[in-house]
Amino acid sequence: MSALLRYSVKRVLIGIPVILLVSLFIFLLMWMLPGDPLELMLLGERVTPERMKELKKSWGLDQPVYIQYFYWLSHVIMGDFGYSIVTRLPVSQLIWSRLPYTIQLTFTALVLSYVFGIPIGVVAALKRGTIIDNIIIGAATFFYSMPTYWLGLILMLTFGLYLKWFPISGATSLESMVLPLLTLTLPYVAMSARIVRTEMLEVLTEDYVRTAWAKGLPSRRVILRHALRNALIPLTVMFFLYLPWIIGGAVIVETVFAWPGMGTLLYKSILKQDYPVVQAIVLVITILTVVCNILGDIVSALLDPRIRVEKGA
Amino acid sequence: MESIKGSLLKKFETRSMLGLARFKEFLLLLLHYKASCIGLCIVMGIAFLAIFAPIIAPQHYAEIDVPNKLLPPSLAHPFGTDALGRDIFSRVVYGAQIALWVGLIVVLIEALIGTSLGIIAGYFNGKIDKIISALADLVWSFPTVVLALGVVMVIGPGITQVVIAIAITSWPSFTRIIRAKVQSMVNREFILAARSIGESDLNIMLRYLLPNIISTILVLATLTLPSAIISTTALSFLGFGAQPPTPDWGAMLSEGASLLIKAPWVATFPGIFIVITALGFNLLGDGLRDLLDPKLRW
Amino acid sequence: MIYVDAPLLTVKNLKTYFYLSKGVLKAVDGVSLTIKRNEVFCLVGETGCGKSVTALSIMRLIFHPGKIVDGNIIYEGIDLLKLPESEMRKIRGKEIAMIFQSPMKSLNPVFNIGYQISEAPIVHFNLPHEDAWKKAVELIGKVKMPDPEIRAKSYPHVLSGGMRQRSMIAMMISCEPKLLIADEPTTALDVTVQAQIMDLLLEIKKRSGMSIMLITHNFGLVAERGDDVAVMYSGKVVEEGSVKDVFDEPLHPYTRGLLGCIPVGFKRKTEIDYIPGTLPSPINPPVGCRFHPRCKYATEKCVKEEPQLIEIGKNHTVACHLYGE
Repeated sequence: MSALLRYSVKRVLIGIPVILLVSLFIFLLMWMLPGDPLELMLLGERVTPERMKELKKSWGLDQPVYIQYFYWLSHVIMGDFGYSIVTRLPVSQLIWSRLPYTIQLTFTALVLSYVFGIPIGVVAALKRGTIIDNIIIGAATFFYSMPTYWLGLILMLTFGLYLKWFPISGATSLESMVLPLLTLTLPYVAMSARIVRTEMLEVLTEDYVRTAWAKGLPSRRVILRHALRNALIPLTVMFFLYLPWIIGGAVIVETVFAWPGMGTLLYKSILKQDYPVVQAIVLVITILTVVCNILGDIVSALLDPRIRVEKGA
Repeated sequence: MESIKGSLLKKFETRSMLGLARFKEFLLLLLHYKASCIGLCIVMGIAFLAIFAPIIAPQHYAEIDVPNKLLPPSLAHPFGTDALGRDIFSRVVYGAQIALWVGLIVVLIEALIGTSLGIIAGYFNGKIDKIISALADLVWSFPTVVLALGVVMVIGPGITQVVIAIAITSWPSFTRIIRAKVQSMVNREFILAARSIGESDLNIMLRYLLPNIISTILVLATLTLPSAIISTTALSFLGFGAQPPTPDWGAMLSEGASLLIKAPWVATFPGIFIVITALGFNLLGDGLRDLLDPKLRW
Repeated sequence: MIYVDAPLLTVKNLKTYFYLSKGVLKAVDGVSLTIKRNEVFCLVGETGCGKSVTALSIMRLIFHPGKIVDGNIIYEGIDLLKLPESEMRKIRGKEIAMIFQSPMKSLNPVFNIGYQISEAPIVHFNLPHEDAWKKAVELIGKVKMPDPEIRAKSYPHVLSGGMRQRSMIAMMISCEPKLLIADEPTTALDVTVQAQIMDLLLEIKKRSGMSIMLITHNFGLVAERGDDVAVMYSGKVVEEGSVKDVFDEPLHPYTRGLLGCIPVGFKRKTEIDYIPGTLPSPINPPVGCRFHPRCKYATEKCVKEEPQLIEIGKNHTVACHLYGE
């Protein structure tokens, strides 16, 4: 187990400077905006002149840029992202109230896309060349070519407006989650199924699968334990990489269906030029992406023993 | 008694890389893969629309005719009119121009950045490779939309800004694959031979490696074009890409979104065209990939 | 009724074709051979003549686009080709086992070898896991790998080629099969390791009385260790007999050519005898005797008619028009 541990620690250690670099990049990006962004951040709060002075000091606004970065960083680590220009609320509070909705949507979408995508991909691989396989590939390519927003609108139109089966906006009930969830999930089911199918087809022709057949193992065991186990390695790693993508997709889906998550917050904030909020959301998502990358690496090392030795200690 | 495809395959394998004859056979073989045939037709159709837009479109895309607003599809207006009375059919046709043009530029930038980094990473290995690969992994996993929105907030909305933003997050898809290909070629004898006669690294990369990966680049370009188009239209949909009156398909979709019950045709037609275009390139790309470089997956 | 000196495995007129887009590839086109108990049976021929496909057909491991089209494979009185898959599964690994050519790719990279060796006994004998593991460790010792307890927990990629092949052997003898098919088991290994592996295989054979079907293109190996041999050419058996008979008196021109190709000693010869021409395409084999385009003794009959296997001498058969009526 120690090779795995060593590899994980290494990855995390590399990840920390990456996160710092990324935060620096975002900080500088915001700094390019007209006006002093930190000042704008604090404009949100209604303050007395003394309080304003206090705040300026705590954020280091009287200091040169590079020092400001460290003040900013220390606040951010504490969870203080400043104040929203528009609503005058602390940004962290805004994000916190929206985050659960986004997580609800994205996580469910991710899990469902695997729950459906993997079996579909396996079936397609096992029935290669038959009509079922062709249908599956066709459908997968179709959904994969579809932009999320269009899918959302079409679903909204058919199931929401014409058939009136599901609500088309808001997060009022479990039913209101159906359409946005479907919109987000379908393209990823398609992607996962395609990947699983390709991987399975490749793995099934590998010599070690032939060895498994030669041992007289039952089909179920050969396919699930020997073939699928290997075929799923890239897909399991992709799980962690899908997450940032799905969040990106959620931005659009949330906007279309008025789902009160971080996505709509981001969209509205950009429209209203509420910089502190945008900065905070972009930072959170970036950090999440780095973390997902690290997790993805660790998981791939966990599943494929070869990686531990090559890249590990 | 060989099948036609079989004899074509045989001929295909025994000739050398260049030559018009090979290209002809290549097309014939491509036609046998029905799916990519459909893809090719779609791509050619959309390209045709894009190139001949001014001739095909009955009206200019910005021609406003408010009294005739929100008319359903008819002979005069095959796709109906939008909220400002503009002919949707014309707008969709001009939209093809924009979509293809924008898509091509995005892919071009991506390919340039991605391929050069990929070749460098695969050729030099070691530390440079590690840095480039780590960077590529990170950038690739980042959601394009979010970064594009961030960029848009800083430098303002507009098609050019969006193009840059999208190209900046998407180049890793080229880099990883090119890197893998270069790595597989670097140890082959012809590269070693070139080195042994004193060829400079740059020369080797440009004159030995590059010609061998052109087919891969082509396949990748065809396959990433749909994502480029979808991403740019997504940003226009949100209002940050093309600005009115530009007939970007995404922008038209967003106009139509609020009119979904009253006038569903406003959103439906541009949407259909986006899907068909993306589908066309995906099918064509899949076929190209199976022919030129079957080891490329996904 | 099965007699003790009845043959272990008889292949009669086996035909395995592959249906490709280029055409039908007739990899095995009418192969017949007989393997006795407790012997080393060698199947020799050039690369691409159909040896491996024959072996895979015996194991019924031919997948799409291949298909076993015709023939009988009689094992202990049962025709394997007529068995349902569920019954065939019980024979694979348990009665007839097979080891493959490239041990690096034939072992699953994500399981340790102890697990992989214990799988067959668990499935075939319903052994509980601890017992199967103990058996695996025992087998690792039997194939002469040091520190079996530790080795069992290793993953394939840390092992050398020789050790991987030993692991494969351990895997396949775990259920004590009566026939072990070895498809070029030593080709991918170093020369020194080759000898060790062959010695190991023969020792196992001696102890357990199993037969080995050795597929190889290395005649030295055949001469040293083989009991019986069958020579294959372009999907057919052209000569079969005991190693002594075939090597002392090769009947078929192809066999003669092959044996003549081997440089012997340091005699002053200006050239190595070789067989002119190349292997015929398996999709479009020549009509008549498949060897006739390259044969010195070809006659008109050879061009038109395919020769059948005829017995010349005790258990020495040949398919050539030069012999028989």
